[in-house]
Order: sequence, then structure tokens, then C-alpha cells
Amino acid sequence: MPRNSAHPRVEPLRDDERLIEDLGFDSLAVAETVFFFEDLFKVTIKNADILALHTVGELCDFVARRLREQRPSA
Amino acid sequence: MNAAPPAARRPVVTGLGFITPIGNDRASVAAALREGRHGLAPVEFFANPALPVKLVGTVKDFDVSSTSCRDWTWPARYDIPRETLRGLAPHGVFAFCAVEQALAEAGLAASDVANLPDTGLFCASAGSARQLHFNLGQMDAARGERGNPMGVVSSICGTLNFNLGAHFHINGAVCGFVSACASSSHALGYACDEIRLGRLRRVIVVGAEEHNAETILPFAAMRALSAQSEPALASCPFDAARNGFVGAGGAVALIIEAADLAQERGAPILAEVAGWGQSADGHSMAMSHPEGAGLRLAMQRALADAGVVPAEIDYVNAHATSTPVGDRAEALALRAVFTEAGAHPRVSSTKGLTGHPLSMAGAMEAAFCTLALAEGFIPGNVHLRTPDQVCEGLDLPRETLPVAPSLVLNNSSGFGGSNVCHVLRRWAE
Repeated sequence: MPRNSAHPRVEPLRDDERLIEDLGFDSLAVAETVFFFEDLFKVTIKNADILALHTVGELCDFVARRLREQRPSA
Repeated sequence: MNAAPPAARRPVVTGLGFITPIGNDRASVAAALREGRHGLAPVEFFANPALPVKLVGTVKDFDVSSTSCRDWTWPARYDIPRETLRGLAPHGVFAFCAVEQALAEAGLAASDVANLPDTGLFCASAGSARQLHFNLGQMDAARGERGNPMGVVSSICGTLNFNLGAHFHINGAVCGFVSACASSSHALGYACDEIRLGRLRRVIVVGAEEHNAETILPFAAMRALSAQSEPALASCPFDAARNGFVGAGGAVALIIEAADLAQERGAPILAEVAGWGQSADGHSMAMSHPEGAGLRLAMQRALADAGVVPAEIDYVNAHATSTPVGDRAEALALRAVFTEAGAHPRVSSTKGLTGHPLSMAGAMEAAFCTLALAEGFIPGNVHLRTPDQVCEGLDLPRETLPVAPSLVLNNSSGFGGSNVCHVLRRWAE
């Protein structure tokens, strides 16, 4: 488990990195990230959806998909 | 006189951390107390010049005004990891830094308090009205469909104990106290009892509060705040012209340990908490008993618990906030306990310099009392010009005296009539 993140990493995240096992997220951190997207894009993300998101790539794909559903013309 | 309890059951102060309107470290605070320098600053809440509130006791060198923790800044000597920062209320940043400072002053590393069943943490604040308001506003705007997962832990009363207990890995006991302006005095008293009962060996005591509009301005609606813009006219406890208090914020932390533990590790012992007592007025949800009956009982209980008589007290740090009703009640209580017993301790309220930091007051003033004992001075009533007649018989020095007290009494009173008093004694090896 990575140590505390007082100094944020500068390398970009890779799609295959797992939120919990590789990036050290706990369940609260996952919820925080989800809320960040919810608040930014004004979407609602259900608990059941969150359980299916394990990697950075899956999270990004999910948000992109939700945005397309909400704004089909975009 | 009772025989002194064994060293293992005597609570002593080994470290202090200050994030206050009069300084962010022990040396600055002591200098401000000695020299009579206040920390009150002009304020214009809501950018509204029509408001009667013109002054607040502010913390300098921190910016926690944003509702997003990502924007907060604090002095570089403190390292707050992201995992901890995300759950903190704005005053949690003050408290985190105060605890780090107090641990360093006590010669303790974070690993010395972590994962130990004999170490506790007792905290007091009113929570963050600002964060609560903001988070509920987000929830309202989304019709309940979204909310910040950190919303609860970063805003409700208890936010300090939730976050600091987790960050510092406290295993012995973690608890919060909610008695308004007596809160952190309760925290200190019960912390000492844990040591006296042999249940814990070390307790970190923290009091903190915010000084933003959401925390301070509601007191204007109670007509409790001074409308003066001149600090000396606004915060002048015991003065005949006093007209309300000046709100303030920050954080203070005290490290309390069993004396034998402190001695074993060669820790600096700043003072002993010789005893404490409490009572309640049972009179009004917001105003003191007019004759100070409850505070009188609390003082008497504290003295009895410490095994001392009124004549032995050299100095009383009064709660007195500069309100007409509260200061009067305390003056009467002090006269009943001391003057009528032929005792004339010096009495002062340091809120002339700091303003009234609400939940933080008790811990802050216990820390000031500790400094007075350790460094040998008695703080004066710096903004006092003409004492109210009700203070007749009380010795109210205007300036700080270079006199070393041996026994001091610290008073706090809060909403609902909670009164809590501590007796602190100079530590002599």
C-alpha cells in the first residue's frame, strides 16, 4: 500500500492501475472521487455502479459514458 | 492537608500548542501576554458595512476561508497529509497544527502516542457551521441525490475527535465535549480524571473553533457581541462600560501525562493540574445565574478537590468575556469565594487580548495559566479602565505582573449554565 500522499505524484495515472490495490484508495477515497465527478458534471452515480469500478480506466470510461447518456448531442 | 497522591496518579502538563489570535507558538503567546498585545482584527462579514460586528480575534498565517480544503494554506512547518486534510473542518487545520506543536514541545514523536491503549484524546469544538451549511446546501441543490462523503465528519461537533483520533492512531480513549464555552474545560477535567483513576497515562486535550461568519455572527443575533470598532473599548472584561464580547477562533492543545511517566522520560513538566470542579446553574439556556451561584460552587469544588483554601490561590484567570451579565455574575461569585474569606488573589480575564474563542476558551486559558506558572508572571486586565462597582474587593491588575504564582484557578462558564474550574500548581521537583 503506498504511503501517504502528502506529495502528489506527477506521473499520469495509467488506465490499468487499480484504485484500491495500486493507488491506495480506501472506500472513502473512492466515494470522494465519485462525488467529485458527480459535482463537476452534475450526474448521479449509484452505489451499484461504483462497485463495478476497479481501475482508473474503468472510472474514466464510466464517467464518459454517463456524460454521453445525459448529453446525447455532445 | 491530604497526602499527595502517588506520582502515577498526578496529572501534569508537559506540552502546549498554540494557534491563537495572540500567537502561533509559546514564545509569541507569552510575549503577547506579558506586553499586553491583543490579537483583535477588523472584520466585515458578508462584506456588509451595515453589520454592528467590527472585530474578531483572528488566527494569522492560515487561510481556511474556502469551502474546499484544496485551497487551504497553513505554515510550512506542518505537514498535513491529504488523507487527513480531506476530513477536516477549517478549525481542524488549527487543531492539527496545535497538536503537532504540543507533541513537539513535550518531546514526543507521533509514534510515541500511536497505537497505545493508555493514550487518549479529548476534544472540544462547536463543529463547523460553515461546512455544515455548505454541505447541506449542496445536498439541497441536488434534491438529496448527491452529497460530499466527507460532509458529516468534516462538519459536525466531534469532527476534531474523529479526524485527530484517526490521524494520530489514538487507542486509549477518544471523546468530544459539547458544553459551549465550558467544553474544553470539561475535556481537560475529564482527561485529568482518566489519569487520576489510572485508566490512561497520557491524554491530548484540544479546544478549537472557527472565527468565520457562520460561527461568530449568530451571537450578534443574541445581542451578545460588542459593536465597538476599537479593541480596547470592545473587549474589556469587568469594565463598567463593557458592552458584549468579541468572537475569536484558533486551537490550543495540551499534553497531559501522569507525573511518573513524564519524569521517567525526562519530559519538561510545566505545571500540575491539582484538581478541578464543576457545577451547573439550572437557570437559563444562555445567561449565567445573576448571582453566579453555580460558578461559586464550581470554584469551591475545584479548591476542595485540590486540597487548597482560597487564601492559597495567587491568581484567578476569569472566564469574564466582557458581557454585562456574565462578568457581573462572575465578580459576585469571586467575591463570595475569595473576598468573603479574606483572600485577595489577582484576578484577570485574558479575553481582553484574545477575544472569546467559545469552545476553545477553557483549554486556551488553562494553557495561559500553565505559562504563568512555568514562566513566572500574572497576566493583567489590559483593556480595563474603570472596574464595574460589582468588582469591589477584587484585585484586578491592569498590567501583567512579574510575579511568579504557585497556585492558580481557571474558570469557564458555558451555555446552559455549565461551570468548570481547574486548579493548577507550579511544579517543583
